[in-house]
Amino acid sequence: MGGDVLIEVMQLAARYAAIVDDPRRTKEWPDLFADEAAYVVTTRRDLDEGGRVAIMMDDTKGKILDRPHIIDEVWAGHYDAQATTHMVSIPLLEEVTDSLIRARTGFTVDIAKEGGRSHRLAGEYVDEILRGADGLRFRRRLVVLNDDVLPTYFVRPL
Amino acid sequence: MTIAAGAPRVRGFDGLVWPEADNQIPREIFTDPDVFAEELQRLWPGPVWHVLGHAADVPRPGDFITTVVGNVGVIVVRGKDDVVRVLLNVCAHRSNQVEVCPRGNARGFTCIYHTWNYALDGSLTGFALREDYPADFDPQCYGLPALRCELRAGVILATFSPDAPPVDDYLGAPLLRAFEETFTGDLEYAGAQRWRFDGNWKLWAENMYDGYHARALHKGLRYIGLTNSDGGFQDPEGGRPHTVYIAVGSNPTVNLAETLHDPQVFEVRTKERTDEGVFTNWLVNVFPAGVGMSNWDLITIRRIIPLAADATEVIFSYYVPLGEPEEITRHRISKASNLYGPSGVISLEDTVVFERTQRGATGRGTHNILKGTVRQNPPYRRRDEAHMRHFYEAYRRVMSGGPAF
Repeated sequence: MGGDVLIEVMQLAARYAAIVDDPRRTKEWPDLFADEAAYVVTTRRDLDEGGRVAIMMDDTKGKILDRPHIIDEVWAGHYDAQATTHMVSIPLLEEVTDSLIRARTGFTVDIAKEGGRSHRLAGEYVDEILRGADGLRFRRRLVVLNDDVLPTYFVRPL
Repeated sequence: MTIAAGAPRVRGFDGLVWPEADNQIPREIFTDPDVFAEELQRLWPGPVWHVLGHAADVPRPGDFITTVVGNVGVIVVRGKDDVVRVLLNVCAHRSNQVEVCPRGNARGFTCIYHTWNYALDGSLTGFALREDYPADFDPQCYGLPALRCELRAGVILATFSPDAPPVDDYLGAPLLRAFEETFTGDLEYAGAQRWRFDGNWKLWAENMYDGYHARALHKGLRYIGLTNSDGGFQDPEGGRPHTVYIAVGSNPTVNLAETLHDPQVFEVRTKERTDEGVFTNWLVNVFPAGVGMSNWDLITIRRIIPLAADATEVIFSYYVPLGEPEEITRHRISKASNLYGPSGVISLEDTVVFERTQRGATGRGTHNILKGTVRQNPPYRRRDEAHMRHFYEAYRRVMSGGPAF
């Protein structure tokens, strides 16, 4: 596997972070995902206990497509603005084929809440990335948070 | 409007000034650290019963969960004799936390510090280096003390206090019936969500008594369907400060097909419906802060751990019936994940208002309970908030050294 793949995956990670960190770009988030895709946010403890309920479980592309509507329309005006910055580690490429890449990437996210406190969380992205005609998109992004008691709510995806 | 200036800082519960009107609450109960500390001494260990979980959290002998009541760590464990007990999670020797795993199965509990071993019923079964203990040392006096613990409809209730009435007296028949309606069938644990908010636990507790806010704050409820016509707060009888809230739903008022690509989590698949298509949700509050719910397809227990006057941990635990088709179980679990929790479509906004209310509650004046207070007693109507008065009446009684009702 060449260094080009690593650079491509890092650019996908950077584009993802730029979109989730910008409240004006929430509607672009579903485009990061393949036509059949899943996005799940859970905690390390929840995984270890074999628990099944997650923090977010968009297990179909339809739900991924609906999330911007939830954020921008359903919740509009009903949350304190969160300024977030995601920092991602260098992805570890566990498997690379012509069509599929499996990767794990550590990350932290700093959340500064309007009127309130700031929080930092850390975790890991466990990704399945498809290579299509239009480049790389996520078939599955599992977000595993280290905290078992989350310090705040999340408005946008992590 | 003139705002009273220069009010002195309240020093604890006994320093609070309660207005004559029973629907006006001094805001300092949310913000004063001394009130919080006194709650840890008087309310949490007081003559009240706490909801800790469900039998499905500890289905087999040796199963346990650890949690906190007030600020005291406990182990909820099913013994070899199949009896569920709640034990103090503190070594009788020198106070170490005995069990640190949040959930598991054990043959006994061992304190790592000096290898004190406890059986599942809390009795001390062994310890290292027995020689040179005091002559009158009696191991039977050094077990993990057990709280009073009862199960009703599988719900695990416990109290620290010998003065709490028997649990059936405390809950009353309407609540016992409501628990039977809420927790039906054989259930298994399906996971939990835990998060903190920067606010007082009573803001959370009174929100669970609040039928008034739902349609205003949770726009997502339009996607799931709640009617205005029926439902309400039953009378828990005998002046008890609990609630049984029945909410009736039918069809969404939003055209889901036009609005959403995948409305699955908003569909109601497991509730029985009347011929008119109406289904019934149950929400049971046990004073001070225990909640059991069967809303749509979600069977849950909700509880809190008070961390500070302005900090609270919330725990939503989920249970699913055994033996259902896989797709129904998946429906319940994906629904729980997206509808509820810190980022739930219909729960994120509650956390938001708790934090904003905590910031607001430093202002002068009173916290006012209004809608439905034209009625003095239950039953209240579906969109009333009046039941909160009885929560605060019980709170005042227990904090003043009396019974909850």
